[in-house]
Amino acid sequence: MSAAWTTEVLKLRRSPVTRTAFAAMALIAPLFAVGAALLIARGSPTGTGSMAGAKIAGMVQGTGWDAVTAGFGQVVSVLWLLGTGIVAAWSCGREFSDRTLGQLLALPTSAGRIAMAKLGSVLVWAASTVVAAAALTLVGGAAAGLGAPTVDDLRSLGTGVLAGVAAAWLALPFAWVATVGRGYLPAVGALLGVVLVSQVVVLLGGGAWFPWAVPSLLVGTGGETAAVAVSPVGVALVVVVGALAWGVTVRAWARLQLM
Amino acid sequence: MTGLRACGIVRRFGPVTAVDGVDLDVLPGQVHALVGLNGSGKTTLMRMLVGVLRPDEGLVRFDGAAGPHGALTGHVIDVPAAYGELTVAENLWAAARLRGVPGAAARSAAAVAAAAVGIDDLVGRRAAGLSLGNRQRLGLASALVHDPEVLILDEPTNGLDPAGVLAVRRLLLDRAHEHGCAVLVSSHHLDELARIADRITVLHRGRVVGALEPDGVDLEARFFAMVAEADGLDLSAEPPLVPGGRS
Repeated sequence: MSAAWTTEVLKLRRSPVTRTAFAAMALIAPLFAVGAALLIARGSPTGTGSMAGAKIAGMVQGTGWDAVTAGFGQVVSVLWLLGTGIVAAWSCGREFSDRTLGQLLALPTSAGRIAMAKLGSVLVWAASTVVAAAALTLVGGAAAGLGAPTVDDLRSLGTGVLAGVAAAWLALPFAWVATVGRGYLPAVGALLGVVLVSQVVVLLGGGAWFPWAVPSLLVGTGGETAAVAVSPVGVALVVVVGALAWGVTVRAWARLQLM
Repeated sequence: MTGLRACGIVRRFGPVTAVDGVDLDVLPGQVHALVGLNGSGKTTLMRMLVGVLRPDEGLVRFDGAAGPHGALTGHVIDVPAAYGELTVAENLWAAARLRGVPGAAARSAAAVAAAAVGIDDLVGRRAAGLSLGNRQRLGLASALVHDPEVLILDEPTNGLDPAGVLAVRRLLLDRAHEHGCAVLVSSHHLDELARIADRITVLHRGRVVGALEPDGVDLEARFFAMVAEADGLDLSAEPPLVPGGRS
């Protein structure tokens, strides 16, 4: 690994922000997915079961492993955007807030390479965490007595993993906001704004093309009709937004000055 | 050995010209001190010399440089940079790697730099828990970890106790006179600079207004006279009599 990569990976490994965010993500997703399935199993349309279960059944489709994988996809597609967005924003913005930027400029290792290492290491952590969360979900589901998952269940869980990776990819623009905003707070504000706007856009029926809504729609958050309505253009926009964010963030870092 | 030369450096921030046509050279084997009042442009000038800020006009040259500037230069400007979540050893290891020290040598380079500034007993401690003085020492060690040929240090004794000031003084003299390093240092402590500097340049309102002899008498008085003269004031004149006031 290059000097920039080893340094950025070390900073991520040691950072309480990263540890807390990714540990919370790795635990919340399986707890929600398995917990939702268990609550649905205890719910009852006649009102004799759990009220929470009945409510969850309205949000998460199916029962047993179907509910687990559906719940996993739904929570991951939002949580990975929020969690990875915070870490990506912190990774770039903390160099300004902590006044460490001067140490990263005018080095034999270019600032552009450092930015690539920041974005790449955050993505690798996010992807590894969603895989770990999926594994924990499988263990949790089996421990909860759901039996062994079928191949279709594993395929659905895999779709959830892909939704998590896509959500993490869509978090890269917040690294750029943190860079041009010279701190992580503007990026956290932008992140919350995008999550809010996504909800509104989905309610208005435009989620199929709004990149930040696409992963959660694809895993069935808006129902099967909404999932089918996501066009290849919507998926392509997810790829383009992340790639564009990568490019402009690296370019912004390459031009940074210590004012 | 590598020296540093600035030619006609200008930097503006909106309507304010922070550095206005500065020529400066820092020779190998010498400690060159930069003095000036607050806001005189010292930090802005040093940032441009290091390469973390681009000048609007003029250029910075590394004479005799045999590698990329970043690998040859060590700097502490503004505040000493340290990552609070990393230990002292990890901070120095990261600084070494980013400055081009190969992975196999980075750990020993970090240990040597920590010992050079007297924090070898703190290598396992997180930077967030360091005192201001030890954080300053860590910043200095980061600047030295790759054995640079040019050192640019802005107020390097900030926050240090008297023993630390003495250690930094010895360190800078050793780097310059024994290792042939070109050292540019800024400070408000004129008596301290008089003890280590081979040359002293006075910066005022973004311009070089003169040079002081380090071994001359009453450095402070000569500094203020030079600054006042640059502002068009005559300090030798009698103060005007105030009507009704005491003479």
